[in-house]
Amino acid sequence: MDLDHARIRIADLREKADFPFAPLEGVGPNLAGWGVIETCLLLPESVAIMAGPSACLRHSAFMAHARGFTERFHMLCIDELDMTMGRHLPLVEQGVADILARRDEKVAFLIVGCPDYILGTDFTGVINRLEASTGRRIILGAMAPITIGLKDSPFTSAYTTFFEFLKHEKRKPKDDRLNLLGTFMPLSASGEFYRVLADAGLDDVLQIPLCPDLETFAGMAHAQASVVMHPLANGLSGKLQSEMGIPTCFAPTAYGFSTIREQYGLIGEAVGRSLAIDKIEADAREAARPMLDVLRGKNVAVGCSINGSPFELALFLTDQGVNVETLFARGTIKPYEWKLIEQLRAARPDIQVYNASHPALCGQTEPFDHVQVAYGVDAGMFCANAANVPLSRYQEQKYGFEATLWMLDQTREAMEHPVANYDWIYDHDFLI
Amino acid sequence: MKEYHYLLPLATGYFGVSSALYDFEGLVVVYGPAGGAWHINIEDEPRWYRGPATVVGAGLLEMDVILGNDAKFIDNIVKTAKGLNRKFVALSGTPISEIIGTDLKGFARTIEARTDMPVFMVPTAGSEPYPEGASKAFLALADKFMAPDAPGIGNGINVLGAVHLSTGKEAHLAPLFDLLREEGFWLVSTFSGPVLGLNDPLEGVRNAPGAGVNAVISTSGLALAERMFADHGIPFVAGMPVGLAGCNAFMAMLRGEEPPAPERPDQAAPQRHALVIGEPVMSYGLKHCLVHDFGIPRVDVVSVTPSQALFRESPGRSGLLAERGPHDLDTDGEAEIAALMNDPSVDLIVADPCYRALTDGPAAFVDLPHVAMSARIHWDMDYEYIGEPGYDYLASHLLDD
Repeated sequence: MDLDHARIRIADLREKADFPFAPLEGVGPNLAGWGVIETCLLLPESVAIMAGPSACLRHSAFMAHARGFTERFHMLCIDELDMTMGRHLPLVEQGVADILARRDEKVAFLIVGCPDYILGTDFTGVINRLEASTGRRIILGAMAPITIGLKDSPFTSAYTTFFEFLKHEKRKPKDDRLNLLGTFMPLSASGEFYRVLADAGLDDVLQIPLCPDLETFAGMAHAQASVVMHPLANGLSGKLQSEMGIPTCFAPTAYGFSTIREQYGLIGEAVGRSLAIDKIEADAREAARPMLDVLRGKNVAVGCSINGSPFELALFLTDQGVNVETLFARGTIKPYEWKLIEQLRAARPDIQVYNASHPALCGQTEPFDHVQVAYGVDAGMFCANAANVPLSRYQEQKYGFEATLWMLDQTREAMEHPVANYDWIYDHDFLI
Repeated sequence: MKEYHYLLPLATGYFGVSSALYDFEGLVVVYGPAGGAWHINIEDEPRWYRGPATVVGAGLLEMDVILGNDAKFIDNIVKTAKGLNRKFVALSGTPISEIIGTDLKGFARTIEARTDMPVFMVPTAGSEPYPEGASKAFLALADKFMAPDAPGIGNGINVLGAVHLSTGKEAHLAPLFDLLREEGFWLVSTFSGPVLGLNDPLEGVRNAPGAGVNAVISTSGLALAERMFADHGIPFVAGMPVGLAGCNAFMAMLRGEEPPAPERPDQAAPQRHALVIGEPVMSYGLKHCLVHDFGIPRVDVVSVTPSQALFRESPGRSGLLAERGPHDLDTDGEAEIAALMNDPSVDLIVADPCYRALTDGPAAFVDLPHVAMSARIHWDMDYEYIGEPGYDYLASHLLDD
């Protein structure tokens, strides 16, 4: 088993079945991102309670510690035998009731894992009784990686459940209100996107991580449109559209000038206004030129742990004449990325796409020793000599041409003052 | 049912298997859904960084569980094991394999027949303490690789139970290996990793029955030590030689001598009632040090993994550096531990830094990371516990300049 098993030329990557199959999960550094618990806790006035075997809880607890949301997270340990016998239901019910008696949040997410999912445990009675006895809303969720690729991801499902707190609102559309969905680190209100929207008369923008309470969050029901910045939010935006008539626009974080222009166009259509971006784009192109000049002589790799699509970033860099020759990806390529792959295929058919979790790739660094700039902590893991630019969604959330300039500024910073990939992972916790 | 809020639930069985086998160039297959092995590598196993595929996940999906696609997974494991040319394959169970009753023993036999590689399974689920998984892994490793007729080495010693979840980075054990060398012992195996200078990482394991004595430094090594006494007549000493007095006592026990009476410490610490929280062998080693090196009159131990095996009568045990006190307790319950930490008479706590979250009281707190609690969060912290470096570390926190 060698590297050929773990990679494919992008020229040959035409459908999901072409992606290199990993017979066992080689534990690549490829899953940096949203956890179920932190997704649930984006909802204001909520607490998350996870019930399951200690082994399953430990990961979420680690994430809680690393990401700083310990305060709103509780765990109930259940052993496998109790679960198999169904003896855990009264234990969970009592455990949740005890926890809620000490807390004042209005919503509790009860998160169960793969065992309950497979056993088909029915929590309906538990939840009904708990809602009656505590007066809180109890939302059942699952951290069940056993469902990967078959259904909406657990993260998407958790995010979609937020609709429960919107669906009963009597909708009164507000012309100047826009929902931004799919941000974890909030997009700054002083940034480009807010300015562009404000110039177009949209100065009432709601983002979930900035909602202080459920009442503010419920205001999303009255927006004239939603903009989705991460595919995770497609489920929620889809429900807002289909059940409440709020138009949605999928415009994920991107780095390429032309993509960003297209996205602003889509957003303008969704909100029915013209967005003035010409000068912003011109200024950004001008500001980007010197850094792109520096990058043009470099060998570059792009990984899948970046905020945004690795294929989109690679396409932008390739269009700018940068030598992107290596991509690290997962088998769960998102629907919108196939169009990007098609464009990349035409532009640079010889790019090698690696399955970042293939066991044959583990420990391999020598084949990537010539790479000088690696985007994403996953790419940095393999490209040991490269300046590693994490572009993590846990750093800053940028959008529009500002994201391009931020990406380039981060690149310059990494080249001038490199931070070791080890430190990005182990000190900054950009890989959990 | 345990509830956790500020602490992480401790590492469990298959984490222990991984910790025990990680350094032997094998392939440890965590037989569960995607993510099981991932969490171990990313969070609990810093040795993973830029290393080869060692702990891998089966990546079970819903339909695999429902339809029982055993043949598919056996094929996948065979293909990977052959392709990566690892030295053995170990299969470890998870909550899902436990619930659906996967016949991992049958898997092991089939995979061994198809690969001509040594293959074994370690029966774990997902809720048992990690030392149990590590202990079973050591026994399985011994069954598979130990050479019963290994040549005897009179001054040979095996160090058993050195799993990183209990003892941290290997560098923390360097003072022990130095002391053993100074005492004239020949390190035959550490049983959780290769012996320096040997090309084959499993050679130490093969030679282990030739040693004259076993040093057991965590509860993970006790079952193997008892097995080696039963099968090969090798006596063992259990304990962690923390600080100066602990080292003297431990080395005397290994030499087969009575431990010397501890001397009065040159300088006593001001604390009067200490609480040590952690793995039992380590914690009792710390207790010995705090009492004899620092003169602290009362030291209570909270063993967060079971300690019974440490204190049970065992015919092969020739020495034990652990003394159970009337207030010592086995528990990993967050509320129970918090209550003990906030006892107003406790003026010193030695524990993993994660436990700091359970108290805001005035007791002094000395950080001693327990990887099975805090995973990699404090992996790179500067601390020591064995011998003189261990004494110096504790003294820097307990004594005035």
